[in-house]
Amino acid sequence: MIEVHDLSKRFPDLQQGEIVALDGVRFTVDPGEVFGLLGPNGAGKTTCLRILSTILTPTSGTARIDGRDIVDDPDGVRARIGFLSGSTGLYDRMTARETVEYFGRLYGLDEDRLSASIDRIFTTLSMNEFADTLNSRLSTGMRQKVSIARALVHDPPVLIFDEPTTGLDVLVARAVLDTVATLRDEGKCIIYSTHIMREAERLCDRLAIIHRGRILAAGSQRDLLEASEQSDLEEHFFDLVSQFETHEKQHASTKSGPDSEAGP
Amino acid sequence: MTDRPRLDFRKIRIVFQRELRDQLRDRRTLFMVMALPVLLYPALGIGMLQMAVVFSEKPRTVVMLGSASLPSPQLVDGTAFAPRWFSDPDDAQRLTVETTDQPHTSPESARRLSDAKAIHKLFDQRSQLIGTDDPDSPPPEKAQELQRLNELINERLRDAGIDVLVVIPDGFADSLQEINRLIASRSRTAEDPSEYPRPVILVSGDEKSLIASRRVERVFNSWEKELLRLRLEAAGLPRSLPSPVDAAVVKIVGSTQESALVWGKLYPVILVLMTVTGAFYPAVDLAAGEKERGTMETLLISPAKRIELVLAKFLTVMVFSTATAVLNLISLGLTATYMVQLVGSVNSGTDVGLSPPPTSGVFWLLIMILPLAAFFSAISLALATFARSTREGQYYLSPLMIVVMLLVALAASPGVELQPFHSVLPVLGPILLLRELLVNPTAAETLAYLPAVLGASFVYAGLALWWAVSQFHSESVLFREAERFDLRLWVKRLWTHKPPVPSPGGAITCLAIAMFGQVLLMQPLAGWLSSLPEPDRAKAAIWALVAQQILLFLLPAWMLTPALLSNISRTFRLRRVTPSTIALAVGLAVALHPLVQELMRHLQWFFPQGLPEGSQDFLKTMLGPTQPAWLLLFAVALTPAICEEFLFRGFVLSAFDRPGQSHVAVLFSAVAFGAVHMIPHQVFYATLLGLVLGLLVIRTGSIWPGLAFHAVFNGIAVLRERWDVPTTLPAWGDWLISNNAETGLSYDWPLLLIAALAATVLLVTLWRWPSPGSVR
Repeated sequence: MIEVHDLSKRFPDLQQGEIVALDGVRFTVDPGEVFGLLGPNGAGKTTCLRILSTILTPTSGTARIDGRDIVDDPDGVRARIGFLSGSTGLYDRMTARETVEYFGRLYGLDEDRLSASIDRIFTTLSMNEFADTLNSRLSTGMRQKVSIARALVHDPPVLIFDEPTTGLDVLVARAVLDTVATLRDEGKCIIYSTHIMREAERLCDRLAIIHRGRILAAGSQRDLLEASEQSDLEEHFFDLVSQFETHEKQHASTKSGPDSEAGP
Repeated sequence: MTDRPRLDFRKIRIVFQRELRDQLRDRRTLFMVMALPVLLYPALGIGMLQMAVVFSEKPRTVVMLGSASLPSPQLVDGTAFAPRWFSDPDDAQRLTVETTDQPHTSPESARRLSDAKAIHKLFDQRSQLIGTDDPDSPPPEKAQELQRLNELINERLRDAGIDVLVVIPDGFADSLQEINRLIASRSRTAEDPSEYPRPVILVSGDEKSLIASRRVERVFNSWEKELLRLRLEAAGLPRSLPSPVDAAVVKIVGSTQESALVWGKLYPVILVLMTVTGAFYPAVDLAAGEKERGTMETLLISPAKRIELVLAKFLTVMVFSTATAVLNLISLGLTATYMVQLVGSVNSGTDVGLSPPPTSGVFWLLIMILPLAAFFSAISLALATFARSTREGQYYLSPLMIVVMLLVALAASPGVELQPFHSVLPVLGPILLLRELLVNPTAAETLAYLPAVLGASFVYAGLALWWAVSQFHSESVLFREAERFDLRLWVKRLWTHKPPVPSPGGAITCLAIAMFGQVLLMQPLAGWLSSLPEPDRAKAAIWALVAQQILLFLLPAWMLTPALLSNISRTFRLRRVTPSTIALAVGLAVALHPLVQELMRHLQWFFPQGLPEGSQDFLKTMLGPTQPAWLLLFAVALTPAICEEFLFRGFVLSAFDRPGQSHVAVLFSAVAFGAVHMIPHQVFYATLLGLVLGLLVIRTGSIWPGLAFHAVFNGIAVLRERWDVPTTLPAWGDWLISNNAETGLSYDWPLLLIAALAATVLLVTLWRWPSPGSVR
């Protein structure tokens, strides 16, 4: 459902001349599965997900989402994904219902489907009591629920979550994770980025560990742990990152480029 | 991003409706757009009325010495001048007159009278000191004493609280009567009877006293007129004796026109200011605000295309811009009408000329709001999209306002009138047209400008909108994080990371050097040339031209290149080409020359007179047959070809040349090439040629054809000027060119037809040329 081929992204930068935010990333995600992108801050997770949601264009490589190419048919891609990040804002001067209605209409839903969809989502996420309150008066947790509802209103087959629990308290974060699990069980194709190991462990069927724009390792949790001598994902993660850093340093001293470690 | 071009108007409508509702829920916007105009003008109006009441009440004090010697008719009535000497009898209240022979005097006025006498003594001293000298330029030995006396009198007048001191000399009435008698009896005297002491009106330099003194002067003037009338009557002489000519000045202005003049000046200004304000604040909220609140990302992942988002936002901004302007006009119009009525009822007969414009005027005001609102909405949206935060966005308002105010001031200056060239300038065109339409709404020659003004304004709005859309497609603009700018790092990076070809920033720096250099050099150069003896001047000017070209165009481009860039040959496209390519360029120059020449001749009416006559004559002698041909070809054809091509088709073109966007680079380099030519018709001419040159260089991938074209094109112009064409041409030439003593050399249509055919063939060939691709 999601096929990513050799995706690269470079940004111009004042200090270093150019930043390689993403370097030859490739992976696939199937329907009914949660694919985790696990990596520290600045690893390239957000860049990757922004490219998949067509906000950014890749420097090279491409990806197909539900059969649509992100470069050739960005509109088609946007119509088939729901995107949610920890930093997405809401319009303060709109109510929860208006927000969701607005995006539903932009997705081309007719009024019957729209109100049915809103009723269902608002009930599932128990949002009815604040449905007509202005977003500016909502708590952080409520706002994130509005964002989730906004991402789900057009019932997309693919969902992209970019650190959706950032800044949320434990209770709300748990509710978000539960929602993601429910969506997976409904057969959605989900890609979920996080820097929190426990979230990845709990939620993801398969994971990719990403660092400095490259995928260091990928596979199911069991595959990853079997490949390493570590018993726990976090230790494995640290191992990979430190191996990578030493490798980089050696290569820098011999002045040759590192070869990228491939994903699945 | 390859958005398909088809627009989904449903999505535009949905986004537009949301933005509109969002803005209407924003108290700040509502205040700026609705509350401010509705409250501001009435409040200002009331304030002004109150100020007028407060400030007009205090009467000024006039002290008069020697009032006993006043002749009749009666000048002073009680403690004021008699009302009949004022054009508005109510004004008599504004001046209190204190005289020596008033019965009931307060202690203050008694003190003022004694002060007045002392001042009079000082004044007599001053008169004696001056004697027959001119008080404005006294002899040096008296200057100091005169200065001291002047200051003393001034000070005493101020301290005494006397605004105006009038001194009537003793026996003034008798002197007048004696002269009247002499005139009536027609008796001649040995000496001129006019030599008798005259009244003096003394006033301090204080602003308020000066106003009072002007009133007193007017009273004395009308009193004097009456005295003169009586004198003539007594002598049995005609009233017209002192005014044999008395030409009548008749101002034929209808009442609507007079008010239209006021409106014509005031309303375009208000319209411009309000469309800017009404556009700017919503634009900042809609673009920069969206980034700041983190909703931009949400909006970008919605299925609406970016161009649809921009259009919806543009429409929203335009609604607010238009609404602000309309509400302001209504509020100002109603306030003005009400004020006029109020003032009119108090002070009937004087028309302030501020009554609202006629219906047709209102109609044109509403029509002209549209191009202005569209233009400012698009510009504001583009600026606001560029800004990182609402705060940064608001910083951009001041430069925009300054530019707009400059244009408004330019439109208000009396020399600037509606004419073809002005009508296609942004902001200026609509203001000038509106001014004319308010005065005369149906004049055919004014209405003829309407399509041009509207068309040009919408083209500018379209360009600004295109800029806004391209901003929305730029990742670096949309996701500009608040990175800190470090000058040291930046400079270091310029050295360590030299790009192969220049950046747009580098090109703009280069152009700025060329432009400012030209402006700075203009004055000293003209001064230097005029200091030279006449015969050397033309030659010196030619060499100055060469120096200017090398210094301002070639040098910056060549100096910046090794410093900033790593690939000089790619920047300047120093690619070798076949002789046939050069031949194509030369052929194109030869074919285009007569066409461009005729086009410019036919467009002469369009441009304002560029140069004063003197400069034009100088240019003629400079480029005329007195100079050797090789020098002119060197200075006017070869040097510009090298210097201008390396700057514009080398540096600038490469800076903006990106894969798939070479047309933008051609357009920009052509406009820049036009802009450095300064004089409007040359700007047009150079831009046109810049387009051809840009195409030539981009398609062939080499600067040499551009150079060849430029040199040949200018060379033909030089030779044509020098060619001493016989007035009678051989038969073969007669149908190609004609030489008229008045209009000079011109090309006939057979030649133009051949040239047009040749140019078309060559341009099509060039268009289909396999392009070597972008320099990047």
